[in-house]
Amino acid sequence: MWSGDGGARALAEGFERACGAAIPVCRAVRLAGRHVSFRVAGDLLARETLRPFAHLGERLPAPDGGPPALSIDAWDEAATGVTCPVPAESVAAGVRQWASGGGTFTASLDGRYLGYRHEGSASVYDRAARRIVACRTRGSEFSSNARVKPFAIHLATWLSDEGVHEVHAALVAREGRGVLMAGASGAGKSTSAMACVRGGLDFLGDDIVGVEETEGGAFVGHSLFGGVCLDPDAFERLGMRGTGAAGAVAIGNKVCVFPYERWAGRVPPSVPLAAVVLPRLGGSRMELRPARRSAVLLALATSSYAVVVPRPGAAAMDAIARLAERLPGYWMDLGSEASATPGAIADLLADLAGASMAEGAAPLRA
Amino acid sequence: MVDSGKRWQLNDLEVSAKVIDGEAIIIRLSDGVYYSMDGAGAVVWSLLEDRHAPADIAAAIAATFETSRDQAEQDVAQLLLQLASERLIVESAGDAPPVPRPAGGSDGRVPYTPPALRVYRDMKDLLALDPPTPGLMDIAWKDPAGTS
Repeated sequence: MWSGDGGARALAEGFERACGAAIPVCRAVRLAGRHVSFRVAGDLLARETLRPFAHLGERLPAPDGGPPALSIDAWDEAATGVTCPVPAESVAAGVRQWASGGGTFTASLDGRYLGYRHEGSASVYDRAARRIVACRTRGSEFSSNARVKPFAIHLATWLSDEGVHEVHAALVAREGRGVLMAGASGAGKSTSAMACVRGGLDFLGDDIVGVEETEGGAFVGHSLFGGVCLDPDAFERLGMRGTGAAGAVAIGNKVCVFPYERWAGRVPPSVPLAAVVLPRLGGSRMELRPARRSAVLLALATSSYAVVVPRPGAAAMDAIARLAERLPGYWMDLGSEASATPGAIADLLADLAGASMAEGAAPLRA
Repeated sequence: MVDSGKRWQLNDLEVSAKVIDGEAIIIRLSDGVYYSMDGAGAVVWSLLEDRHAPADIAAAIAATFETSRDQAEQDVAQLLLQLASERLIVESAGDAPPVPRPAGGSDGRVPYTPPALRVYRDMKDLLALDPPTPGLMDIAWKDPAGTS
């Protein structure tokens, strides 16, 4: 039954029963500029599930009165007594499946129903109904993805259906203009993003963000998940408490914090994109230098391909190529002082804004 | 040397590519192997995008770079074989006319280096460490409402 209409129906019926046992927590957020509604039965599950989206608004009911672009319904077996029907390992004949992120991802043959099961949780995304239904079994641990990037695999698919492409990049902003920080894992994206928010810039993401092309050919960057995850010693280098800090969550060998909880006014949901920088470790001091557009394309496309799940398709790669073609790109040698990052990014944005006003070539003050 | 009767087209089902700053960046979406070509190689790729025949491509290379027509034909033929073996191009089934090339400038020919395909298999090797993850191309869905 898994990942077909039967699986979706079983989960939907379970959710209805769960709502009879526990009043669901309802939230409406604007994710990638679209109205997404959450209903979560079970207070603990609601707290964990909604936390990474708290910066996207908590209005109730729908902020614009229309039907949601996506509904996400979830229940906790422990809080409701309603069994979470996590299926056995076997799947129905004809359903395709992949191992992914420590769990199993399934798809119906027509691609409409997508399922994901991971340890003590199960979910189905019905693309036609634009609805994700999920549940968590009694006593199961929250996975790292569930705590920092809930429903990530389904949201990536929904966003793609909406014409928003996930990219592997951090995103910071100042005065409403954003800078993508792209590069492979370990290049310094998260540390740079954390340094920027600590240094007064706005924060939209440290790892996975959405990019959307406007009708005019510009690009908007969307915050998806509000957390930042760093090695504990990276927090120390930034002069911050990581482990043991209020609200910090230890996940594997990393510590995750949610900047919205400390700097509520500095985590906007979306910004127009002004530039792409490619952080790289090394160099004696913080330095920005123009990068070839092909270098930007190669960095952004390959790391997104390696990290984003489901892997980007041709439409996403084409959008990334246009983004690399249209936005100025820079190498950013990080040097030894992470605290220099926000100043360098602010100077870059100021220079680009000045160049834009003068309609000339973009100078660079490094 | 160039089989002028055979036409090629990009393998759009598997490949995403862009020529940018004179460099062709190509990703094979099925497994993450990626490629780059600059100079004459990027020109060849651009002409393949526009469905030009191998003989026309060789002629364009000889007209753009400081090389003979014979050498260009030989190099283009070799590159096409390599691109086909990497599944970046496939034989063209249709007979759509090529996109007309803009008239060449008056800058004269530029020094020639034979086109070379740089192949990067590091991402494929990295991904191979894990079970293959799904790609959006694997889960294509046609929205009856026409919004996807």
